[in-house]
Amino acid sequence: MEIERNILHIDFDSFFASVEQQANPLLRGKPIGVTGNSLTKGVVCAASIEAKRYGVKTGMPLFEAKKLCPNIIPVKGDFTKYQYIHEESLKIFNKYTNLVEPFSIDEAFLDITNTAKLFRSPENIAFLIKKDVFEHFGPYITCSIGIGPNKLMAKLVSDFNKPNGLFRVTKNNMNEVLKSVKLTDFCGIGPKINARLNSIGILNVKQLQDVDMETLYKEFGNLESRFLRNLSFGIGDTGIKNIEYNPEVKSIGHQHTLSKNTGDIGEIKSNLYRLSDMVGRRLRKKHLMGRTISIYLRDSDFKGLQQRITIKEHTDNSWKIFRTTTKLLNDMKWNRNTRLVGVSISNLVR
Amino acid sequence: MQEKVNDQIYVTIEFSKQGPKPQKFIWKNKEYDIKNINFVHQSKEGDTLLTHFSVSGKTDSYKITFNSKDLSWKLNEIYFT
Repeated sequence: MEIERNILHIDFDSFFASVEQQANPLLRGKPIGVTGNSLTKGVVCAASIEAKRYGVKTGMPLFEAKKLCPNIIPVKGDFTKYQYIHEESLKIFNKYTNLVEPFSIDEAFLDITNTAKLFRSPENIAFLIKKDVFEHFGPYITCSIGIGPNKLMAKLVSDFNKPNGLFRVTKNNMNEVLKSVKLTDFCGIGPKINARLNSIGILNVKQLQDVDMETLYKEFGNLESRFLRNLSFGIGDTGIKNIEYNPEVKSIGHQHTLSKNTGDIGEIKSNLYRLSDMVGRRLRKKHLMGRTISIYLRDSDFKGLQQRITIKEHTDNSWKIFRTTTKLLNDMKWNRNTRLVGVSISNLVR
Repeated sequence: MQEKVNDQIYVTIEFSKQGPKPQKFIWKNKEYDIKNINFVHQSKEGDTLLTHFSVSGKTDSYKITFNSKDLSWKLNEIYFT
């Protein structure tokens, strides 16, 4: 008999905005929109709960957000803070299970099937994580947690009771949960798939459960139709990619945008020389050596071309990297106006 | 309002079990009391570990950073009403 798994989906609430409100009391209780580098244009990367009440959404252009919420305070995002919390929170999650899969900078899945009893219950682990987050980062940074038999359902119900919510879906309440949600609430059904489902007469989860497989197969093909049918019954993936926090690098690269377009191969080579040296220095500093060397060139129309080669022996030698990149450049027979030059090395060993 | 600064400052620290706590700092010959430490995080610049303290005084908030390599402090940002 297969054991019912307990998967947690942890989702930080209005992540970037909450972090800024935690760091700066002057922003608390106010509608804020975290932006990229500019405070006047661009998009809102994250809106605070107060801004969301006005209808401001993630990804909305700032000018549109200002129309909905004239008092919105744009705040430049500080990604070192968000990265720090991401890394520290993975350490917290690892206290409760070694099966932790980061899903994005502010989301993660945990498989607590084998450890739930050690902490009394899945709900108790959720409470302990919330307590740790509070003590570690402060009261303004909260997370919502969904508990389910698979990743699909855990993610679905983590959106219930936001912010600082907790919801558990089990066999007993599965049908009620499935009845209460829209198709687009599921991770995996975006506006396009939803429109295709609508076009074959499927408007809700019940209809997706009842539709004959042939109709679904005709529209979506074998894999997707099975995924959608399973989803409608709350069946989803339980596999946690066991990515323990490991800051090991997989490749090292540098690129440089030229101040103006150039067709001069000599200038491209001089940039390759400088970039190869930067890559070599970083390799030596990290005590790494690599075998696969790539160059990347982008022309004035933003069309790029990448070429790579795997050499016989691992190297951290800047000169060797440069010689390989010039060989690749010659082989590419590149004769376009160049805007950007990049060098990287992968296949790394210590 | 948010203002970027990058000035060296002098900081008085209290060392406690929870770690170092900045108490006050001197910037442009003026002393600023720190009432609350709102958030602490760390980042790396090359091999230099930087510890960032988001703190607030009576009315304004500040971001100050300790550089563990040269043991210097900098005032990075000021937020004021």
